[in-house]
Amino acid sequence: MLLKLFKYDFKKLSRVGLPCLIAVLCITVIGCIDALIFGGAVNHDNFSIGDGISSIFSFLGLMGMIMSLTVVVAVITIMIYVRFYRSTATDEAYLTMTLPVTADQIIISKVLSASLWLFIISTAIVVSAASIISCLLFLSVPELMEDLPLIFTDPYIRDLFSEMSGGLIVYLILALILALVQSFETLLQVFAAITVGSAMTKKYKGFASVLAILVANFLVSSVVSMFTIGSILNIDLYTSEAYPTNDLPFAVMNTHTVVEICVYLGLAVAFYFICRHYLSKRVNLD
Amino acid sequence: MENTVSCFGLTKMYNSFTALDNVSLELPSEKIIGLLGPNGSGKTTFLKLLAGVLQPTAGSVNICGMSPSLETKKIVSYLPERQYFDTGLKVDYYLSLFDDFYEDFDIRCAEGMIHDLGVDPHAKIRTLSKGMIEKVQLALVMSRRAKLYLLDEPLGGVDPASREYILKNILSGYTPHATLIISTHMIRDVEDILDGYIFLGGGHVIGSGDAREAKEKNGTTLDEMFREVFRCY
Repeated sequence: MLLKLFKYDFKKLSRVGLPCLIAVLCITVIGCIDALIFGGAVNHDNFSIGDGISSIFSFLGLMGMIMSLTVVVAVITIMIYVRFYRSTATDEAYLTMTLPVTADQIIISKVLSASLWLFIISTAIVVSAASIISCLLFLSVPELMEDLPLIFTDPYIRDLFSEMSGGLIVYLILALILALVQSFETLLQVFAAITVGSAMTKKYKGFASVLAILVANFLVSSVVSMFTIGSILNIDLYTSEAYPTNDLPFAVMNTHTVVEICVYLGLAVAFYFICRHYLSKRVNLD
Repeated sequence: MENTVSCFGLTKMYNSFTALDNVSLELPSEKIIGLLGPNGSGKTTFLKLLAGVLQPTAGSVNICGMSPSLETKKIVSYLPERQYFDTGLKVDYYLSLFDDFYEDFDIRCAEGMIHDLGVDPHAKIRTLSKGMIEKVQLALVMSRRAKLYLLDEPLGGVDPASREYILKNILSGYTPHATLIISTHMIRDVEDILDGYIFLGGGHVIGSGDAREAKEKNGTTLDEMFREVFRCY
């Protein structure tokens, strides 16, 4: 049943996801054309009005691309939350709640389908950004990709990361896990806030859900800050001494990342159970 | 004859408002029961409790010996008063959804009903009129071979010709060995098909029994009995 539910949820979100993908493609094409026409190196010894106009258009084009891609991310994110709200707090919930599926299956399906679409859009945006940047630098994409590993083979950067416990590979793995856990936590946080908010009131469910999301955001920020305040203020939590600013102990970065993962994981689990409780017992249908 | 629905002391409160108060009923299988009462009497709340959409404040309800749960959702076919479609999706999306999730769904029957309605399965829900959407919803619900059908105001807001069509489809789609509960105000339209009745008023059961026996005993129609009982509500 979970796979079936996932299939239909994924299909429903594709009504927003596919147009967003097309939008990213169009932005990429326009961005690359703008970069190729107006981008490129400027001759500072012989700067002309034409160079100035090109630079302005190139800058405006780049800003436009960045804003457009940001809007795409915002649209898909908001529509994921709107879709969840509609299927659990409006009349559509009469169908959702009478399907022969459990609350766990409903939540997992919605989190997985949303995560998959966010991953697809994020990947498209990364490819888009790489394409536009490479056009700006007059390099082809494969050449850009060839240059990228140089960052990690640079002796200074390798020395920097080798100071961290477990080395560079561990840090990258932990960063990836943190990104995944954080994205699941964010989805579950908003889903839980929507179920709680819409259970509180009969008439203004949407407004109550938005309010609950804001409260949840505040609570999560407070909890996460409490646990990571040391690295934010550059203070060693164990000795209460400040780290010398020129010599950050990268060895503790992995530890803090692990702490962050645990905090977000704990929050994700808590929000999951809140969401499940409200979907099982407290659905507020008129 | 086994009871499809049994409830004891069933109570549902919304904050301080009591929608259902200590309702105890046993409804046998293979019957069409009319759930009759004025606005706000608790009919919709009762059906939602049977469908498992709401949790009771007190008391218990059993469907074929089970509390409302995942297992009862497999054997209960519920038509709410509201339409639950995402209007941006197509009719065939819901046909395949019902076919995928409900083992007892007869897709050919549903496709036949939708064809008879003159609805294009590839049409988006938003292109259909309100009455047509309600009929599509009813077609999906009645195409299931469920053990319990719960129809909340299936005749509300439709014209007389459509009412006749809906009643005809209810009877033709309904599995003979199942129990069917219809909640409605349009008693005159449905009383000829009812085997039993429940009068619900202010969250209480005011009266219930065999529809034909009651009509013969009182020498009136169910509609007239209803008007007499609920004159002061």
